[in-house]
Amino acid sequence: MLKLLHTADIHLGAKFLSLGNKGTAQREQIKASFKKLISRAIEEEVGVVLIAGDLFDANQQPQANIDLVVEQFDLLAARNIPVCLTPGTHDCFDSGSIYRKVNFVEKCPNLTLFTDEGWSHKEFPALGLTVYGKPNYSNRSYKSPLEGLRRSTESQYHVAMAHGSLNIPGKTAEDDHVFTVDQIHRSQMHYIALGHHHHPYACSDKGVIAWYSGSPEFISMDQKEPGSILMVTISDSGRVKVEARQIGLHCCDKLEIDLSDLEGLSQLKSKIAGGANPNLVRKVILKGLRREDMRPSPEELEADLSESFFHLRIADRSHPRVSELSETAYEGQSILAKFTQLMAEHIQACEGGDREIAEDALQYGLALLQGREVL
Amino acid sequence: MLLTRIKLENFKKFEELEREFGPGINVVKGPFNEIGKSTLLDGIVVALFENPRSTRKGLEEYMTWGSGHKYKTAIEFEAEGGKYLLEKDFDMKTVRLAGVDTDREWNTSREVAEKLRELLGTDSRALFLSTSCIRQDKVSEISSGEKEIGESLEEIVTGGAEETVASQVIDKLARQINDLTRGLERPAKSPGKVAQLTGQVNSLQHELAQIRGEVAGVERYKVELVETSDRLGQVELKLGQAKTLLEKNKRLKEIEEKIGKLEKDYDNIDERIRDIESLQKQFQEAGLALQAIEGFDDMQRVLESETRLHELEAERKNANADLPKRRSELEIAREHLKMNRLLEVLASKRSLILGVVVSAAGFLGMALNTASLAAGIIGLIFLIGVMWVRNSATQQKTQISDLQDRIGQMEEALKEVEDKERETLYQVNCGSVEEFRQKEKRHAELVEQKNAFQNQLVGKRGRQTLEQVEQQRQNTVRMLAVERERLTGDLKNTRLSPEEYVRHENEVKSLEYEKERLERGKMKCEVGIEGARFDVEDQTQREEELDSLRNDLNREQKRVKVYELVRDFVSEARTETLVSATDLLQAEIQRNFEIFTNDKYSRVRVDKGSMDFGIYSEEKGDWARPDELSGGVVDEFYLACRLALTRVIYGETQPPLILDDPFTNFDEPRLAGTLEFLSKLSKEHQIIIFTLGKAYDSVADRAIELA
Repeated sequence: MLKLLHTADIHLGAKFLSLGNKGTAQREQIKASFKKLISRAIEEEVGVVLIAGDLFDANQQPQANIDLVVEQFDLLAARNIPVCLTPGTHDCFDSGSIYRKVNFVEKCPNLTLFTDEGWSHKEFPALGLTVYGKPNYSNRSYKSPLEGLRRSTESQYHVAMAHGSLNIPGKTAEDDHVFTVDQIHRSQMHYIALGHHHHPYACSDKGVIAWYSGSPEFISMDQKEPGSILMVTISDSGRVKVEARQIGLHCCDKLEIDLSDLEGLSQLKSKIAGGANPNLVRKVILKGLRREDMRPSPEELEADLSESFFHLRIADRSHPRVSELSETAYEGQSILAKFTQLMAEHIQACEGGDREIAEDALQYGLALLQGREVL
Repeated sequence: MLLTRIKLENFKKFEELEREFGPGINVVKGPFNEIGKSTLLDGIVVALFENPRSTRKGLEEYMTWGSGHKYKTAIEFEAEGGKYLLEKDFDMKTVRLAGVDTDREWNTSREVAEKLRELLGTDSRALFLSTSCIRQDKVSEISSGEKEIGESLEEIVTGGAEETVASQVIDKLARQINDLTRGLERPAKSPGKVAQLTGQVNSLQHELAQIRGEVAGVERYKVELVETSDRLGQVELKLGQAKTLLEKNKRLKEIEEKIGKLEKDYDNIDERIRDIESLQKQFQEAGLALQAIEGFDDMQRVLESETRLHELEAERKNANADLPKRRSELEIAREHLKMNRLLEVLASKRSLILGVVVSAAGFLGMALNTASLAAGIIGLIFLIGVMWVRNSATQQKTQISDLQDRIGQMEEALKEVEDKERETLYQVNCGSVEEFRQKEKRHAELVEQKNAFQNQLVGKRGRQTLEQVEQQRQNTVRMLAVERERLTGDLKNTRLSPEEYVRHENEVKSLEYEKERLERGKMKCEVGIEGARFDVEDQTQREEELDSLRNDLNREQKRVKVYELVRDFVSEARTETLVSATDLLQAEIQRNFEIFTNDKYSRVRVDKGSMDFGIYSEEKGDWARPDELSGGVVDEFYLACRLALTRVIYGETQPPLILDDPFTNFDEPRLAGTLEFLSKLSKEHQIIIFTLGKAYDSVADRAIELA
């Protein structure tokens, strides 16, 4: 029986523009999760660790990240656990690749780094395993990462690594290293360790088994669960079993709140804060038509509520109800009425961001003229 | 619009209150303060304008104290030919406007507000209160000068909340904009948020550009380092191979040279040994030959003999050299003697006596005769001559005798020498000196040869014995064998021709130069990487920070745009409203004021845009500001303006006019005039007057008691 740990898309050194001042903390958490998955590999006494691309978020890395990888691979080496690694899309093997700047193979004798053009393989006779790998040479490509994959040895187990997108007609971009289910099944592999998507997903669960492992830690806003790795066991008969194991700490969710149904700010705060926890990254979209006297400030709400989350981001896509004022609204000869009329005409003439500003101006102006304090 | 009925439940002090109103002047009277006049007024306002679903805190104040439920309101009114019932349940948070004559209903706050705007002219509590409600405190503000009429009217014209004046809103916005944008165009001590953020963004952009440049440089160094290290590795490998080849060649050459030298040494040693052996043989032969020379076995004796013979030979020589001379001298002496015989006669004794006598006589005669002196002298001379001859003869004889003796001795000695010579020769077994000399010569030759052989032997052997030299030869043979063994096939295969060797040497030089250059390049990269002030993490953090700052800046810039838009549009709205309202307002104010003042003041002007008022005083013959006239006139003017404004703002849709006892300061004539005006006005408007006393009974169409 063969046991292996499959991970990908660790994205060491990732940039987090959406996390404000929590970017550094999240990068540290990614490192912590990377260490955790290595520890898990050692605890579970896996035969090999497979990293199917995007170990690094970019081909420019601080020395600390390089040292971390070497240090962690050395821990595996001390336990005679080999590592197989293939460059992905973010750490592609182009002329400026991190793998050209740092000689990881020299530093980590237990590392097999697939950099040859075309499929190459590494045999592990003691495990009865052959691992196949092929690097991505660029961030975008029309070529399938599984093209031409076939067995090359007489090993008992055949496992491949690839980094790309499963073809979903109408959804997958053609130049996103696209592969098909057919190619999976033609590959003659027992298991294909995939990378590129950030949540675990089975591309094929019959015949040739192929899974995305997902990222071991929060990387992007589409990760609703904490990050995980896959423990893959292949029985002597070739039967493959895949289990996801949670590794990551942070996850995210997205909340859309319709202000039309809300009476006031406290109700809004309550909805935003519902289910808060310090490991959650929450993105809140305020939408709908808000009352004339409700003009929530995303910044103030973030300041009030963010302590309950790892990170809270609020975007206001709502519109003031006053933007749908009928023509009879504020009829009369007052400055207020005239202001409303002029603003309504202006709003009609605006588009996009200007329209938003005009709607905001109408609400704010009405509030000011009616003696209400708003921000 | 005509209010017809109001019903309040659990509204402040009224558990239940119901009153009806009619057209014309409705006077709500209460003999005491706190009887509920203000509460009823509040009830009208709440019933018309408040939203049961609103969470505005002020609404809770209307709850009856101790009641567990909130209040209900119901108001009936007529407008635009229809009758309406507006019911609000603040407990159930429901609202319902129903057309009494129709089946139409409006059940949401929004629909009700829209309909109310249509029927009443406004759905704004604030606007209604500021326009249709004329309260005593507002009149007092004008009277006391606390507020300018223009400001007060603008407050109304603004149409917003009380105390909200459009021009003040504009000023406030201008201040807010200034606060935010201060420092943008010109440096400021305390820059606004936008300027601060702009500065921070610019500063961070600049810093980020530097960091990016440095990080990019470091990354280039990293790539260059890897390439240089690879190239260096290749060069070092090639250099090593080239040097190894040269070294092997050198070693080959050395070994071959060594072998050559050893072979030469071997030949030399071999030749040396042969020479030694030859010399030894010759030495031995010389030694034997020496031994063969008889009598010359004892060299000491030979030397002594040689010395003696030499001495004897010298003696003989001397003697042989001297003897002929002496003999010759004897002959000569004899010849001389012969020759001197005559002289000898002369030199006899007689001659001697003669000489003496003559000289004595001469000298003695000198006493007698001086001429005897000459005789004396002659005699002296003769004497001297005789003596000389005699002496000379004697000497010659002596000499002859000596010579003879000497010759005799010499001959004797010579004989002795010959004897000794024979004896000496006998000791060395020689018959003659000639033989001795020959033997000696032969001996000397042999000795010389032997010495020569000896010297040569010493030269050949050095300090070594022959055995040692032979050992040396054996060592040389062993060393040769060792060196020949070192001469492996691998070494032989590396043989280079001289030209090839030179070429390889040049290649090594070239590779060493290249290696040095690459090592310098590598060091430059390492220094560049090591000395970097910033790394990718610094760049990433700055980018995140910049993004955050940009978001903040965008937000503040948007805020500024919003404020500017509001300012501009409020300003435009104000200008348009005031400009358009001024003419109408002026005419209405003038009409109302004329009535209030009983035609005393019939000309009023309103400045377009600024709401500054002027009243023409016939007394002064000039225009004056309202505050320049008496206090009562100010109140009247204010009321005239308020009424005019209501007409201007609401146009054809006139809500009920609610007066909260505003004419308390009016004297009787004025009050009478005002009541008359109100009476006329009530033909067009429903007027509801709240009062304590009976001042309005004369004009009241309906009295509503709140006892």
